[in-house]
Amino acid sequence: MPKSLFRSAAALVCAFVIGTFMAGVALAEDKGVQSTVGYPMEAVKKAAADALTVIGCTIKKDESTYVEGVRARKVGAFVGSGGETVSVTLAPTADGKTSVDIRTKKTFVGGAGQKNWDQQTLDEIMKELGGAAAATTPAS
Amino acid sequence: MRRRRKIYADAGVALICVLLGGLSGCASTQSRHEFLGQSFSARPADAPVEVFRSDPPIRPFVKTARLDVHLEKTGFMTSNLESALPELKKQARETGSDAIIEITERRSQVLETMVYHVTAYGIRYVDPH
Repeated sequence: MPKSLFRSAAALVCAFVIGTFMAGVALAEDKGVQSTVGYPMEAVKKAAADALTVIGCTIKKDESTYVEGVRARKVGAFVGSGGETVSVTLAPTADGKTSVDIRTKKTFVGGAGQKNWDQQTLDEIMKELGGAAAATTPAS
Repeated sequence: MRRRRKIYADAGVALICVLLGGLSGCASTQSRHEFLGQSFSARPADAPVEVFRSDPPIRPFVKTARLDVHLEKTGFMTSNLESALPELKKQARETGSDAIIEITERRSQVLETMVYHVTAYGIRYVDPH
């Protein structure tokens, strides 16, 4: 195998390995999952932060109406995983409930091992809220 | 012949670099704590932390914080509570907790990545030590 061809191939492999670690160009966001939750906004915001933690996000933004987390990127034997940014946007409704809009942003590099976390995040939020409600409900 | 040996040596070095690059990023650990009400000062890094895996302690206590540790490993490698305990105890110390109770474990999988998440609660004993 000619030396120049080998060096080109080695450079390509190294570029691929480095590329899977570095943040790539963000792809367009998905349409997300929207829902109205029967709890006040403060409780839902706390549940959202807990839910993002459970799915493996490190919380990067925690504002009054917006919580965002990023999953750590990992290189694997096949495709690895991680690198997604999951965001939860909250808004109060007129009847004291809270509307949530959950979106996952994937990256171009390492995208093969990434998944959409919208529904799972909503499920975790409901689980957290259900547990909180059970903890505060007095035993009959 | 010498030229072929040099090519094989270069290939070996490149392969080692790729493997090391892959191994260094095949696992991740995230942890977080959240005070339930009053916040407490952190305890020393070598302070003992009791772990109650089933029943809570008999001594009166108050819950201080929720603790979360999240482990992910690629290549179908699994994690367990023992691997999460050091980080869980660290989070407990940071919240000024004396012990850990109500340990809840969750396992899932994303392609080749095995996911392990543990949630627990830190507590402080009410009576003096």
